[in-house]
Amino acid sequence: MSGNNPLRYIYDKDGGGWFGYRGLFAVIFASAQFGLFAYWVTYTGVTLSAGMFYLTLIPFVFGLLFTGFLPGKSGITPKTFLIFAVWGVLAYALYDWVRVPMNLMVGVPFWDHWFDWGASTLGSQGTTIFTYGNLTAGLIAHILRGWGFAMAYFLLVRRVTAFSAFTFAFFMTIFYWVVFPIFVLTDALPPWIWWFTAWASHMGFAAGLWLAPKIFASLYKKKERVEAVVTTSPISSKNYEKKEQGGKPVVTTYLRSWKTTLYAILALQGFGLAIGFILFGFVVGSQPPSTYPVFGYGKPPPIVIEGFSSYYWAIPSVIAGFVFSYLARRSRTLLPCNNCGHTNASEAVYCSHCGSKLPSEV
Amino acid sequence: MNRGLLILILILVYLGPYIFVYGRTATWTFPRIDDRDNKAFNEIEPHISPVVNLTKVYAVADGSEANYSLNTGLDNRKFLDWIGFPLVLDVSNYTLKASGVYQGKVIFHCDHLEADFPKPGPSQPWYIYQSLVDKYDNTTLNVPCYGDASLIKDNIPKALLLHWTMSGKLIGDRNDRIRTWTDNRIVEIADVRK
Repeated sequence: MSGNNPLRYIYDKDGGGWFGYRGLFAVIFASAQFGLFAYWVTYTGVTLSAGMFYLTLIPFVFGLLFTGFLPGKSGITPKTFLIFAVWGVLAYALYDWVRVPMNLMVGVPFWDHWFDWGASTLGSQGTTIFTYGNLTAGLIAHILRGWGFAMAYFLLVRRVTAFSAFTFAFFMTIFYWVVFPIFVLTDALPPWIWWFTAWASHMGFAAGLWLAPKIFASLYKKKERVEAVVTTSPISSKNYEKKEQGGKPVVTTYLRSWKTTLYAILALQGFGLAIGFILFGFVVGSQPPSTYPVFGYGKPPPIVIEGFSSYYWAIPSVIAGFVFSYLARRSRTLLPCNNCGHTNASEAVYCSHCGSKLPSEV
Repeated sequence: MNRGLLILILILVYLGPYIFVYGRTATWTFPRIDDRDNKAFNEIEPHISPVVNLTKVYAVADGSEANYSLNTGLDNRKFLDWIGFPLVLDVSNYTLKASGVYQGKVIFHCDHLEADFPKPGPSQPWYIYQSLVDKYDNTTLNVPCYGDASLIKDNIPKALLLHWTMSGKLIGDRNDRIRTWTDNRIVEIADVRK
């Protein structure tokens, strides 16, 4: 069975599939969101401290215990966790960096909920909500969630690619677009700048997911460590995603050109933004417009553009999604060199890196 | 790239947004909250109805007593918080002390404590929340007052002088202040007994 069999993403006999250890640990590390979710869907009835104790701390403790059962052939080891833990911090830092100019330019106060989360965690009320203590507690909960999602991504994918990173982040965006207006911003109508900021910051998150392995590659002293950890699958085992050649394992490279990746990401943006426009239209259309300048420096950003329903904007987004999907499909494929693993254009006969003859087909 | 430089850049990338947040909290969030709290405290206005209702007269052991109702409260509770979100200023321990004087005699007196003024709950749909904010902007309540009914047995004065003092603890996002108002005004008595 080829290591590229997509079904192995779901299940493989080594325990590394989504219905195996990878899925289990992805759920455990994403559990920081579960605690917040309980706080959200009960309209703050469940305090964040209770939510994070039962739905985050306890899963993390069990996760620690489960590591003792990990079979080596699953590809997950404590060292893998450590590498992902270091990588995972970057994504949320970039996520928040994208929101910084949104505060400076249009006044989006992206840390306002951190006070609420901190207050719910520490039990503050009244005039003691807006304190540095609550801000810090909320900030830590915020970072923990972003880091946990990044960990879940690195655990779920076999290989870090721009496309999978953007796909994962777009799922996060849609989750946020749905849950926040329904359960969190129940007493406000989020203007378009909120939707835009949510999308833009998650795309920053995706960039962080994709860049982290590349950036940390240059921090490793040993070249072979770079190949073993970064250029190959994050979770690798001896018979997984590698080809044996003369007793020496050679890493297979990903068969996707930068054009294919770009078109695929643009197609994803088209379809994803169409969902966003439809959700925006639904939320804005379901409630009367605000008479109050929520968000910003006093002037409310326009919630709707007169005469243009956001549902209409979904149409060109869907068209763009199909166009870029088509372009992604017809963009050229790449061939891997069996000798050095370097990728080459499909029309090339010899490897541009080592000069070996390339396989005639992939 | 030099590894040391890369590590330094990474540390700055990690910490940058959070340094920004703490800096903006100190220079923008907290001063803005304090400004808006104080503005809200200063814009609160006392409310005293120009009409006092005579609601009941009844016999007691050594004479008779009259019950009155005075509509009072606080206006302009609505304010915008630091993100421009509409809130209703919390009011607790609201007290009203008043006496209605006619020709040197105290016709009635009021002494009322209201623990908390109503306000919108933590989570309502926006269309409900907005209407509640507007509803509670001016909050009034009917305060019961009492007096000797023998003073109005022959003649219910049309107008009398009301000496009043009210106070309340106003609670904003980060600040609270106890405000007290004292004044006199001419009020009418309306006999609303059936």
